[in-house]
Order: sequence, then structure tokens, then C-alpha cells
Amino acid sequence: MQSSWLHILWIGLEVTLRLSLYTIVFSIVVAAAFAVASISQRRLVRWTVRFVVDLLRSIPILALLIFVYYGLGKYIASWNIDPFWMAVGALTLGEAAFLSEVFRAGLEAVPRAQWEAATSLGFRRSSALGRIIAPQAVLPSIPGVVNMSIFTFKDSSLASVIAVPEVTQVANQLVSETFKPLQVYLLLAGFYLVVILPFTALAGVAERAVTRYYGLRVDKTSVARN
Amino acid sequence: MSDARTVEAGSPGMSVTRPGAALLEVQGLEKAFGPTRVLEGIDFHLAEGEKVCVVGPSGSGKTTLIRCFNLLIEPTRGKLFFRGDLVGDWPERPATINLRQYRRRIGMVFQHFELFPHLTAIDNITLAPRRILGRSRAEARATAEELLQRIGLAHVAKAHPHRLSGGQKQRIAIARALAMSPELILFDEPTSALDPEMVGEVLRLMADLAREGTTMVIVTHELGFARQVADRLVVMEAGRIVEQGPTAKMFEAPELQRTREILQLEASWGYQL
Repeated sequence: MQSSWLHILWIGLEVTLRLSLYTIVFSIVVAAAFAVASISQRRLVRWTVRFVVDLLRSIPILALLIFVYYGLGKYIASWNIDPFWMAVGALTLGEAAFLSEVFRAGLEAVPRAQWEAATSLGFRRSSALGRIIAPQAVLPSIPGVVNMSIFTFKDSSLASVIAVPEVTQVANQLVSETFKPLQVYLLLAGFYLVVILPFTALAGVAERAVTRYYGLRVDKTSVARN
Repeated sequence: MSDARTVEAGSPGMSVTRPGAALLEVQGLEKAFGPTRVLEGIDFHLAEGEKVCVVGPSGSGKTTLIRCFNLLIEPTRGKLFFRGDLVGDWPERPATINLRQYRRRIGMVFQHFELFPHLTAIDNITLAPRRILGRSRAEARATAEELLQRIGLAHVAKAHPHRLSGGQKQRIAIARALAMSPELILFDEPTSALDPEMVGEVLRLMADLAREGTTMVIVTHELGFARQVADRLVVMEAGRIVEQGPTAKMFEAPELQRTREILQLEASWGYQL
């Protein structure tokens, strides 16, 4: 009995992982675009993006999901979009709005003099951003990306309300068949835990590695002398 | 390296100075941040090969002035000429030329070095020649290695800036500016952020460049250096040029008592080459 539960939940977990992975990747791309636009020199671009980001941040992800599935569903029914991709879309919008603030903070934390150094060498704004400013924003953004990834993984459970067969939805079904909510949901919690715990540990390792690579932490003892 | 600079001058068509024209000239330059006037009525010219030191108390507008030269700061009023060509006439005709092409002809060295922390020393030097001048990787590397060799830092080519001492960082920053073969280099208090024992190595490199005929404008508090290296001294206070003239005269027989006072004040700290 128990082993078939595990098997059923495992299938759900695969969907959860796929859902999370797509959302994380798309969120990073969308958030990067939002962040770049939100520091644009064009006021209209800046204001528009900041408005959109604030709007998305103030809508619960559950509401976004319901809006996309039930609100838009009727009008895009002919496109035959799988609820899975609707969930990816709604989750991406919700998570990217938060992540874009992380990226923006990272970009704005690069000293203004770095822009000036780039400008004085003849860089245009876009290449200064790409070659000089953005690379320096990567390291400080990593904890934010990790956080967002964990939230995404947990928030993906919300997709159960729009019939995406991810692990929480599968667990719900299992409960309605077995009438053993405590056991099933404890198992479900275990699934989430097992994925998230190593991920946070891995994140710490990645952060230290990037720190070493960029060497942004000043190490007074290893200053080279002539 | 000095021939690299003359041979590879940015855009040949533009680098011919009009007869009788200064390399760089400003007339009636003014800069205001809101109601605060930081620069007022600045007239200044710079001949090719000239070394000028700008001195004055903190907040006198020295840094703002040289930032107006490469338009990191846009003047509020006044005219700017480069090799006799009008760069801009504010407020009516603000910067009519291609600013990027203009800026890359002028090197800049910052107080806090502003090396790119994610790049190694050599990549700091090659980035702009590759991306801005379109040099090949090999070509840019060869030039950079030559530069590193000559500033005595070949051994740190692959180190990231955080591994370097302040003096090494500033010398790399100077090499980064030189790699663009600038027609003029601006120095914004290049030794002010350095530990005392590292000031000498940077000043010596700058003195070397001066000897080779590099055109330089140096904002500094190092009067000993200014006295030895500068052709001309500009003394500023409260956003105005108090007095400017040949270095020796400025030190020995300035026109104004105020100049003497400022120089005396500035001389109370300083470094002997």
C-alpha cells in the first residue's frame, strides 16, 4: 500500500519539478528584462515597468492562476493550452516580479563610478551594462534567486487548483481515495522537504564559489606585493 | 608604448589640431547642481603635450572641472573645444558630436581606481580596446602585456583586482587608460586613496608618462609632484580659478596673496618624489 502511494506521489513530484524548473528559468529571463527596463534612462519605460512589477507583486499567485485559467481560459480555449503551461505562465509572472527587484537592487548596488569608468572608456550604456555592470550584480543576486526558486517550488502547489497533476493535486486525489489524510499529507510534506533541504545547502556552496571567482570579498592577507 | 600611442590615435581624421588651436579649451564654463554653483566662469586651455596640475581645497570644483572635460558631467553653460572643434556650447548647443567617440580619446584615472572587479588585471586593460576599438584578442593582449611589462606588473596579469595593492590597482588603471591610446589623460586625485607607502610608485609612473610627452591634467594635493612635473598650475577655490600660470612662477611669485595661502595650505601635506 505504502509503496504504491510513493509511486503515485513520485509521478506528481515529477510534474512539480518540471513546473518549478520551467518557472525558475523563465522567471530569471523575465526578471532580468524587467530589471534592465526598470533602470532605463527613459522615464516612460521605467515607470511602465515599475508599475507592472508593483501590480504583479500585489496580486496573490493563487489569484493569478485563477485569473489565467478561469478568467482568460474562455477566450483562449481554442488555443488548447495545457493547464501546465498556464501555470508556468502565471507562476512566472508572479515570481519574476519579485526577482526583478532582486536584480534591480543588484544592478543599483554597483557603484556609479563603475558606470563612469565604462563611459570614460567609450562604452555605450548597453554594453557597459552587459560587460561591466551586470556581471557585478550576479553574485549579490544569487541568494535572491535561491529564495525565489524555493518559493516557486512551494508555490507550484497552487497549480493544483487548476488541475495540473503536480504532487499536491495528486496527494489530494490520493486522500479522497484512501481517506487517510494525515499519512498522505505527511508524506507530501516529506517530499517537499527532501527537495528543498539539499537545494538550500547547494545554494550556499554555489554562493561561496562565485564569491571566490569574482573575489569581491577583500582578503587583506593575500595582497600581492611587488 | 609611447609609439603605440601616436601610431594608434583613435580616429586619424579628427586628431589633427587646427593651427593655433589648443588641444582642449573651455570658455566661460559653468556648472550648477540645482541652485548650487560648483563652477563659475572657468576659462582654460591646454596645449598638446602640456602637463597641468589643478590644485585647491576640497570642494573647490577641481573634480567637477575635469569631469566636464570628458563630459562625464555636462556643463550648464560655456563652450568646450577639442583640437579647435566645438564639442558643445551650453545651453544652446549641448554636445553636438558623438560623445562616445569623443570620450574614448580622453583617458581617465579615478581616485578609487574603478577597476572592473570581475575581470583580471589584463582583461581590465584589454576590454575597451577589444570592445570599443575592435582590436582582436591577440592584438589587445600583446599591447596589454607590453604595458604591464613596462609598469612592472606583468606578474599580476591574471590576478583579480582584489588581490592587488592600492598602488598596483592604480597603475593597472593607468595602463587601462593608456591602452586606448588617449590624446589626453585626466587624473582625478590619483593618489588620494592610497596608503602613503604606495603613493610613490604611482607618482613615479605618472612622472614617466609626463617625460614621454603625454598630455595630462592632474587634480592633486601632491604639490611636490606638481612642482616637478607640471608645466602649469591651476589654483581653484569655490568653483573659480583663482590664478593659473607656469608652475615655477606660481610657487615663487604668484600674482595673488590668496594663491600663496592656498598653496601653503596644500603644502602642509604632500609627498616628495
